[in-house]
Amino acid sequence: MIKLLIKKQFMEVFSFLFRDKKKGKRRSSLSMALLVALYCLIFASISVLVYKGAEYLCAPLVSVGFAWLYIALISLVSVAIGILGSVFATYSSLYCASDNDLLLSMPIPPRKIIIARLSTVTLTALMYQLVVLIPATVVWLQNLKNGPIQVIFTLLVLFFIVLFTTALSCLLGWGVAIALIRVKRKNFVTVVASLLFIAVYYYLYFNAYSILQSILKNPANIGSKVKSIFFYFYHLGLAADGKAISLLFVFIITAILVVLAVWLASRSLISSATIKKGTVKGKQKLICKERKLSSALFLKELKRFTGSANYMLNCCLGTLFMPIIGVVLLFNGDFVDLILSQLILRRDTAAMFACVMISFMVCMNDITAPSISLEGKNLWIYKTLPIKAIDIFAAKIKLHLALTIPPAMFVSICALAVLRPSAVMWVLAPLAVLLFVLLTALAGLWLNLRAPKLDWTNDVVPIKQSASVTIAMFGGWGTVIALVVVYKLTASILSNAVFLALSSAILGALCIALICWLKKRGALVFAKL
Amino acid sequence: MLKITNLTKTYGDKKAVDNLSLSIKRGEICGFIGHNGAGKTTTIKAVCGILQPDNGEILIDGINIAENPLECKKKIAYIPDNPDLYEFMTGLQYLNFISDIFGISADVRKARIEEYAEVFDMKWTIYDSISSYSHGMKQKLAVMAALIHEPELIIMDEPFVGLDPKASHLLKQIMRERCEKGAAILFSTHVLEVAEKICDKVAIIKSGLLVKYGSMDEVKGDVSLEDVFLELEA
Repeated sequence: MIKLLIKKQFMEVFSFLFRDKKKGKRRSSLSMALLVALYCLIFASISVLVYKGAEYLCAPLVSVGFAWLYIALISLVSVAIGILGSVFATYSSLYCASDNDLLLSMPIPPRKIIIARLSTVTLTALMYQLVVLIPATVVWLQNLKNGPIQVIFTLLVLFFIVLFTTALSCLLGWGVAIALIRVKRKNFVTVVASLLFIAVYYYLYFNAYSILQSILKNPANIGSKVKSIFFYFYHLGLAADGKAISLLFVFIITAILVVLAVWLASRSLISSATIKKGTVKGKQKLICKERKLSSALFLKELKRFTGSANYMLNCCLGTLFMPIIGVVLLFNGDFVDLILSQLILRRDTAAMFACVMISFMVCMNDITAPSISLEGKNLWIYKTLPIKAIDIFAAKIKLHLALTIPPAMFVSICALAVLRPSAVMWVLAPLAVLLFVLLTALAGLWLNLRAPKLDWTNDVVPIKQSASVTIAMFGGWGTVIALVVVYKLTASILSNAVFLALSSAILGALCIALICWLKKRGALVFAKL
Repeated sequence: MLKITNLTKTYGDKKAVDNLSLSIKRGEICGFIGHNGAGKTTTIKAVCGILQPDNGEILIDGINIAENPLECKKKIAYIPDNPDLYEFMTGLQYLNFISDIFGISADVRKARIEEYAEVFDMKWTIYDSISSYSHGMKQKLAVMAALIHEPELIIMDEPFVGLDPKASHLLKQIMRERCEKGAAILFSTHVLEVAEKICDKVAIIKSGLLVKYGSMDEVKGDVSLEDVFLELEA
């Protein structure tokens, strides 16, 4: 029975290789081969980078008697990557699988369902871990001193790392399942977790070299920290170095963890399959608050926005980055002054470039660009209600403005405070940014009315894969670049203030044109959707 | 209350609705019957203003929906066969949203929500996210949202699908009560026994053409509606 369940799981996981989900057709052999080749290329590229890092680390650590530290660190990294890559997949495959109800209604012990699902969890984690483990192990084997015994112990350690990752992923997946049942605003949790992940990723990416250097400079210090905090990994390192006692310790801990994970997952599978998600416990009070039409429509758009982690993460990153950049600028005013003096840049010119950078960040917010598409199957609601199309458009535009103008103005004021340009720039620069924000809001809506995508089942499609979003983003950048080019060409003729005033006038005229289009043609286009 | 004249809608080469004409007075319930793909949903969507017909005229209480859609939509309520509602809202939030659109005061909407939540057994589930609702619960919520502004014309596309027997019975009761208060109802259904029981008028559509239309007695005579339908389909 387990073989059957595992076979079904593997068919499910690897179905993307054989079938194009978008077209619903079987892939051609060429298409399959290209897809496999692409994955191999990505895998190989990352592995090469890992190999270089491992090479830099391994030999020096082995030479100073800290070989175990190398394995401990590699294990930590591979376990972290394996868990990050598989914990949400674990949660969705264990607790959100669409066939959970079907399998649980059959004479199949939950334990066997869990084991079958864990097989794909192991595979998912392994796919991420091998990117680190293969090159790191190759480097390790090149630096071995104790011959065949160490090779065997190393292979066993790798096996335990994979099992440990699976078990930990399963336990964390259970934790995620429990948390998400209790947490009200799951989308915000997803957004915060994703942003934290991006922050950690970028921190490690930009500091990888200095982290490696600090390990090599202070192996004893790092080693004692690893030993005290990550005791299991300390013994993993010792086991790979040939210590039998450590291998036994690692085996016992891994076995306990695996048994615990399977037991816990089996027990929780039934209860989590029968808990209704999205239900509210306890008595509620019937609150009926009257709102104006415009407020009701705006609130609906806001709920739509906050109801989708994809929407928040992909269409509103500018709202997060702009205030951060603003604060960074405020705290690094002296550094900015130094740069300006070294570049011999006039303050008004610097303010112009600040406008350019802020405009690029504004383009990261494309909230209106998928907003019509996101109505999707709900479009009938708007179309059967006595609401003017322009009121619907106004609500969508207001949401975009509400989320973009405050951070854009904040970073503009911070930049101006640091750059200290002339008084006229204090008026023209924020005005230009304001008009650019309005233009992106209107243009996004215009594009989506011209190219809506209403037949989606996953909101990722209109948010990330639609023409309107792509054109809105690149069009925004293109507009900024075009203005920069014109600025460069006219720098000798027009002063900064005059150029900014003219640009604002052009942006304003475009906004007016788009508003007119939305009022007249836009309403007709919407009626025909 | 509803007057459809020479309604025609074509999709590519296929005429989904061909020169259809019918009318419903206040206080009447009209059943709309036809095989799958006959053109019922296309007709209904045209009446609601979701689709724009290629030809014909639709008057709601004497107002042309093409010329004055907003005024018409203030008078109608639509319940689709598969109610795709805002899953990011709770049931209560959705009802409040609809109430805001129609400008229903807080006191009035509260009373109506309490009444309908009690009637449809949704007293505690209206606080839950719509994403957690079953099909039947979504159907009930769609009915509640349709009735909350006391529309003069109610258009329903297979409203009994997914409803439990109690809710079906209550819906039929509500339909009758509404008509007695002066509303008109047009609904499509495959359940001919229900149509026979509650409809004053019946319209049978086949491949876009209205093949039989009139009062229930005129259309079915001494035989059952099912016999009439099957004979027409033969």
